[in-house]
Amino acid sequence: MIQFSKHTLSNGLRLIIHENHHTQLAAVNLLYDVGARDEESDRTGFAHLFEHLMFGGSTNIPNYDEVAQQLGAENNAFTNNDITNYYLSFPANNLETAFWLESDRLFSLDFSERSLEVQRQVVIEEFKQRYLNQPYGDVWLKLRPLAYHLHPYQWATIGKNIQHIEEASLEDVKAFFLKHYRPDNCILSVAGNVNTAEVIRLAEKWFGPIAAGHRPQRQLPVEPDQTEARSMHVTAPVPVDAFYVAYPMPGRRDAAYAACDLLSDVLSHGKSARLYRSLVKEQQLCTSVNAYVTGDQEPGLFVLSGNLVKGITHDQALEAIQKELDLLMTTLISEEEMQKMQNNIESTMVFAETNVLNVAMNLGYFELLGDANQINHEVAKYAAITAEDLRKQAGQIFQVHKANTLYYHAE
Amino acid sequence: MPNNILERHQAPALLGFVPFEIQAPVPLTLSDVPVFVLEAGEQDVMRIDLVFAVGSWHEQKALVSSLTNRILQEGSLKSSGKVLADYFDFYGAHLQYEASADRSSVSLYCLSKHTAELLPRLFELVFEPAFPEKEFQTTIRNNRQQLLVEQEKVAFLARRGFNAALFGPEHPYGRSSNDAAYAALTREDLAIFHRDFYTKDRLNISLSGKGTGAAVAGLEVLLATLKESPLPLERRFFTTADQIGTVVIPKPDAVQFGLRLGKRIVDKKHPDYPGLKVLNTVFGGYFGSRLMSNIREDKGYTYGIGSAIASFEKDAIFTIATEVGRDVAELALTEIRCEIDKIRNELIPTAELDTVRSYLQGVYMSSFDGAFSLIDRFWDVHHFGLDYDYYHRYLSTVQNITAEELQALAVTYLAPESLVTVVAGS
Repeated sequence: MIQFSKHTLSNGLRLIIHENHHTQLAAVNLLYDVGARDEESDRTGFAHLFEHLMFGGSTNIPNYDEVAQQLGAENNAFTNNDITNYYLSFPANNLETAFWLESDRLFSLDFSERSLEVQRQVVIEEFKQRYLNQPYGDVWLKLRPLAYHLHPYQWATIGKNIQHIEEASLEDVKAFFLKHYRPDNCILSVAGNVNTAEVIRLAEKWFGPIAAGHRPQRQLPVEPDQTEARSMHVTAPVPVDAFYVAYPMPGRRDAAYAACDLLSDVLSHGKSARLYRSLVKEQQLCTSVNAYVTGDQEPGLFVLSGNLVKGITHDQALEAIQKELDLLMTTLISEEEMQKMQNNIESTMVFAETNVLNVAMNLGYFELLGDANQINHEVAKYAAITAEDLRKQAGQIFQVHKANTLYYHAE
Repeated sequence: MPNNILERHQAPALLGFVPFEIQAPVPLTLSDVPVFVLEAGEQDVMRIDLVFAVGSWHEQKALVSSLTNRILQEGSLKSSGKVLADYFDFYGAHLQYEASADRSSVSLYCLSKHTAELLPRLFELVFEPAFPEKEFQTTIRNNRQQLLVEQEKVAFLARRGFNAALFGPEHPYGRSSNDAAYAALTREDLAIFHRDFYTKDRLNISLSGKGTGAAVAGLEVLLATLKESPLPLERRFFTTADQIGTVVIPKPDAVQFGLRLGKRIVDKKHPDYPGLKVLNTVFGGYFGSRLMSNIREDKGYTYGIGSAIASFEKDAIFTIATEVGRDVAELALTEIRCEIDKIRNELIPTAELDTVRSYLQGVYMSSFDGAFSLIDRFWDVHHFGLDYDYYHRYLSTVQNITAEELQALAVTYLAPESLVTVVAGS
């Protein structure tokens, strides 16, 4: 059970506070409700490029990193298709400095042509390092447009291509900031060795005076129901063949999400999981195999992937995958396996509580989903799922005409 | 509240470092085995580490030590690998395997309430492995295929070439996986290594988390059954290679090059080591470091660049590592060399040094947060025959070392002609 309190400032900023006096640290997390899904299709990669620019200095703090370092903070940020998340963890006695740092860049980020110029180059190198210069690094650049034809999830957070990053202008940057970086589009969560009244005072002092914006109303295109199976073949200089199959699935807020999440655990969590036992150990078709959900806010993907043993064909492996999916759709999961999944969820939740930065991040994320307190109901929510629910859910997802298959061939 | 009330240009006062007591584990001896017990934390979680003072230093054939560790989970004399996996997964537990040149370990993470059930299984997995031939063959084949994938990564190629350049490809600190070594292994190699070295007299144990008391009782019963090794523990003698100059590892289609520069340096027991950690932080050890500020934040040549000092038990290395676009690799190398010259020829300005002092003190405090961090910090000194005095010396160095002393360290240890440069990609 995570105790916390929740407050909303008059400018709409949501504040969540968790006191933990067993640590000497504090964690401050700012979740901005903006991600790659909010980009225009001809200017992709922008939310992520912008995240880099947030470290470029603000009116009163020309060098963000330097102050963060004086604070003794471990800090960073990440962007995904849904959100942009900034975080710091540091000795709790300097809490106010973190508020000063984070409020100043929200209040008046310094837009400089020079910072944009350099970060464009940094992000282009990131694009090369992570997507072009790694074996199988481009999988998501291929798989997304295969699975999504209309919805903005069709592009990766890094962007569709390097050109979009090269073309970003300072005007684009300013407009993006003013639209999305407003207090009413932010969830601030603070966890650790802090005092609730003091946190509220600091939030009012540093964030209170920042004017609210007009919280952007999202009107994203709805991905039409997939009516036929899609596939794509890629040949690249990689040593072994691989496959990726993506099925559309419900979004994070959907009641059916938890069942999908459990199905991915049944298939792929731990060395006892079904796919590993069957495809890697017993049938020796794959050297590695995986199943996971993307966990997106909007309808996401249930992904199955594997690297093939040399001499095994894609068809052999995919047939074995299909058998495992058929089994989920026809046969109830045993009580013992259900209990295993349940124990795993409980264990994951308890371990997540051991670190205040995790707690701050999770509280912010659950608040975005609708209510931070849901974090305390997760174990019960998963426990309520029955084997019959899972069988039904599997039938919903793993329909032959909804598969998006990427065949990755070694040159 | 109007904006003009708040003086945003006025930084809140930064409070200094607050000293704290480091919680050390309680040492016990159970059936002649040293056991370290650290009761801490709010959540009902537990970690149990079984650590053997044995590694690739003690193997007769490359990879034997790491594969022995890896294949423990594939089945015991009593249970198949599947049964073992089912058992640990059922309780939501997690096993972590580590094998380095100096030591080998298996760690169990679980909810405290499951410790009593899981401990005997952990002992079964670690002390009674069967090394089944079929699972051995599958693992070797999969590792060989995974190695082909790794060899497509310039960072992997650069690291492998770098370690071999410093120590030589046969030295335990310079060795890395290669296909011929996998091909030469047999299951008997592993079984013999296990019989000789996964023994009571090489074993140290730690328990950390909440509810360790109950686990200690269970542990005592299990330890009584273990055997001593028939063999003395010997390290073979190896000479180091200490190559300098430039090593080029071809990979014609690479979009970026993997770069590594560095050298062997004094280890953790040396009095200069804490000062070198501070020097390294200024140079390339944090986001605001000189390498990052110049080569990423000013020039935009890379997504990331950093340097590190890492100590083994018998040696240590200083490493600069990055991946850079092939068109700017030469420019990046020039800038790295400029930064080395600068840190050797000029005093570090006070403001920069103060920032690094604050940063390292914050990181220091964070590094002792929670039961598992506390036990990690214990092992970090215990493995080297050091005690908590190391941390006091380190903290005092962070707080008091002068710019002059740091420059002297740079002059002594970072001579450009003593570094090897490895370029993977061209």
